Amino acid sequence: MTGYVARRLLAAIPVLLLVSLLAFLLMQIVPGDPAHSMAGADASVEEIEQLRHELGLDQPPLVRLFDWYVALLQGDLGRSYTLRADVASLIHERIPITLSLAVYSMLIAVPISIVMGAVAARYRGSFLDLGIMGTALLGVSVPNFWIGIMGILYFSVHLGWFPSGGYVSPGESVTGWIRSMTMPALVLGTMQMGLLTRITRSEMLEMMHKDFVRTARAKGGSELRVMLRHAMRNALVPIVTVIGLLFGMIVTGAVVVEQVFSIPGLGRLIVQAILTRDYPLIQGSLLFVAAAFVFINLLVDISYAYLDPRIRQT
Amino acid sequence: MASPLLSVEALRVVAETRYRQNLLVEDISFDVRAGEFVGIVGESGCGKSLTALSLMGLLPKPAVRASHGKVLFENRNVLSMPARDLHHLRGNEIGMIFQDPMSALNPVQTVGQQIVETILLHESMSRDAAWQRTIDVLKEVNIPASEERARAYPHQLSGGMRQRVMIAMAIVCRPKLLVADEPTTALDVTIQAQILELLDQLRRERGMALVLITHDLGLVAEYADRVLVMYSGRIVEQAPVADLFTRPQHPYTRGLLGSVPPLDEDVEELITIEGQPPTPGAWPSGCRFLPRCREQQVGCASWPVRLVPFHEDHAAACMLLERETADVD
Amino acid sequence: MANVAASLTDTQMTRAAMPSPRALLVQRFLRSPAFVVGLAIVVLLVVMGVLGVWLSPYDATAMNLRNRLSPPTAQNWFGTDNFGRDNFTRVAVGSQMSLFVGLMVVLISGVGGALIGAIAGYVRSLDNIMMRVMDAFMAFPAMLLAIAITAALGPSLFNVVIALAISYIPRTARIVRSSTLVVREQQFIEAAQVAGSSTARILRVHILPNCLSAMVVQLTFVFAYAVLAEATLSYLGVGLPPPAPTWGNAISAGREYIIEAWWMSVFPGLAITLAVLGFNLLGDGLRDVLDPHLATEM
Repeated sequence: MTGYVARRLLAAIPVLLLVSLLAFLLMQIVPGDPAHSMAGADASVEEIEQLRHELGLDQPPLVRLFDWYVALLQGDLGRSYTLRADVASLIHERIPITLSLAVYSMLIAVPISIVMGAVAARYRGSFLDLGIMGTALLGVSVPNFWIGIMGILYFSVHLGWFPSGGYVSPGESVTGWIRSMTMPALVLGTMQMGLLTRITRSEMLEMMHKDFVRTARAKGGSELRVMLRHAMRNALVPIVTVIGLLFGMIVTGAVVVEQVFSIPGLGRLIVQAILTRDYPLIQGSLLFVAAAFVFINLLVDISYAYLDPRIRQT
Repeated sequence: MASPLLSVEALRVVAETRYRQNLLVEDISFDVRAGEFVGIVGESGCGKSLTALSLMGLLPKPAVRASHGKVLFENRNVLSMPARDLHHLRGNEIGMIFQDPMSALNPVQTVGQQIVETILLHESMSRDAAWQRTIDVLKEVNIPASEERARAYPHQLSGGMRQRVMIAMAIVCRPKLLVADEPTTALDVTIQAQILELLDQLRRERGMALVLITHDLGLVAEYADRVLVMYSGRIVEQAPVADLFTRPQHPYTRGLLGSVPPLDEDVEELITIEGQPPTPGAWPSGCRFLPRCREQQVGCASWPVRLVPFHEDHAAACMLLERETADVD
Repeated sequence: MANVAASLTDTQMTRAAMPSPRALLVQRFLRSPAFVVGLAIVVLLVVMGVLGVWLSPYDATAMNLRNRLSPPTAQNWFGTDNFGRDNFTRVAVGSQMSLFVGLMVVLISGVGGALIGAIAGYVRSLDNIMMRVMDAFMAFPAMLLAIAITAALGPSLFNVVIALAISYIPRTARIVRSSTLVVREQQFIEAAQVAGSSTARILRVHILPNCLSAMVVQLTFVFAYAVLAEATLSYLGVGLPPPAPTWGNAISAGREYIIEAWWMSVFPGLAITLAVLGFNLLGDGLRDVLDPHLATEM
């Protein structure tokens, strides 16, 4: 088991190196002079020169690459030009908000979709199945920014149940936090719920055809027991992978949902950085997200080993 | 005479899709007495495995189901039993082992956990007692270092060991009937004999009846009391084992016997049956063996197929036999 | 066991009348409700994009400030927006733009993914390095990578297509690679090698056609993602810049008038949902028919 974990950790290192290289290259493909577009149209030549120096653009590319990696090793993601602050500390400020939104959203989405997927598989071909799968497909197809706006229109404007946006920290008021985060979490979870329901159903169907499920029936287990202890337990292995992938997607979703509901999280920071052409901030926050994604995949691989003894051994 | 332990009456199994219904097993009737060893022999696709699954009500519903007939276990019909009774029956009064022990065992549980589950489903005892009983039953099926093996996952065991685990799991609640569906097909030849020897030994020690499903007539010759030969969803011949081998009555059985190499003599050439068995749904009406039969005569095609008694406990579904017995009278 | 019934119908269908393989495939497609409904939706979108624009008396960008924020009427079926532009015409033109972006992304990521995947799967020495690079791309969630690329390149139609194509190439490459790995072990590839076929020829004649059905399924889903992603990019302001009448732009504009003019954001949103749903259904149907072992349905 420790050998397996160590090997997964080692395998993540080259991916992280490539990811940071990609994040670096992203800045190099900006057409024209980034300093020029960052400083704005009415900037003086001196100001642009000053900015070029700040960004290191007056250095040859290889030197910049070297500096980029040296800074990364020290945990330095660069400095935001528009917000006049370290990118790392800006991310650090925003991350609890986005993380809590993501976790809240997954806490709603995962149990619902696993139950729905299992029910659909159990009653395959029935109207219940059709209804669940139709809803799941709709969840995968509907754009989350639009469903967010529709939610605001109905639940905030029409019914007045939730605020139409803004963020209340749980330190201020826990109920305020729940009121401000419930609708964003639901909206953020629509696609995840749809995907996970579909995958749970197909994995469960596959497992229910397996010989060991027949064995479990032959042992005299009730249908519910066979479903939960044998089919579901085995289906969890692929389902956990998907949950890991969904966590990556949720960051993308958060970019949009935070924008719709004016929540000052990491996603909003990224959009703001893009709209103000704050390249160091874009670069740093993207790298952070990608690294987090690699880390989550690592956790998924490790939980695999916990769920599937066949992997543990190798 | 006391009623048999298991009695199958006019069983019919069908596969249903949205567009059509296919007969898979038709008009199967046979008895199994307590402690008896019955072999069911046939080629793949002849319906023998489906017959075995019906005995426990394990047909893969809703695609395949028993549409007709009864499976009486101690005079209770398994096919119409409420779920509760069925759960009590399975694993407790009837045990079952399958062809491929690797896929038949749950890959994410230790084999010990899986046997403990069977015990606790049917008997109220502490987990520790169930664990102890698990170790005992593993010893009984000749698994060395059984305490250690009980903590192993299926993929950590050899094929033969896995099948022994399956057997242990099937017999741990002392069932009166054990159904073994091709239990040695996936195993090495040397292991096959050991597994069969073990099954027969357990049967004798426990007075348990055993139904062995196989495509290998040689296997049943050695152990079984009685043999049913199936072809294309029907029983074509049933007889005590010695009778079947000395005077087979159905041309198909004769063909099968011809393709079993005798152990004690060298043969230049094995007699084989030409052609392939028809697929379900493409069965000819009347005798299904007719297209491959070397002994067919005028009238075969229109003969209403039924089992013709030949000798006590020996019957075959062949028109020629009916004509012969009629001549004697 | 569960496939007994399915395999039975297969043998019977081939036995019964022996229609041509092509007719059989068409028959199987028509029996998949997902495929039929998906196809119907996609056809509807194309018709709306072509016919709607042609029939409409309005120009998608023509402003009419005297008729601002008009609710749906007989003249303006979907109402008008904050500049008095006809919402129906803008949604119809939007479907043209979405379908165009989707098509281009599918073409580029299909060709790119097929090349990279087939080479990685077939040429052993390149496999590791190519797939590690793909892994690095895939470490970024696809949409975020697209956002980043358009952010760097600047918002334009061309850049949106490029950004989305780059984001989906690694996923397509992965699928082609795994199909290639299966195909390359088969006998006829060995025979072709012995017969002296060049690597390029083997890839073109033998490997790629065998990956085709897996690719068609994947690319149909890429189409759905691309439509959704394009709308999202537009909404966030990094897609096609306004006044381009994309669905995302329309919703973004409608966001500010949500209380007084719900129609501004409702109709384009419905259009996006319908389009993505259509391609998802089409993908489900194609997978059920072309790649039955992927589908767990009977």
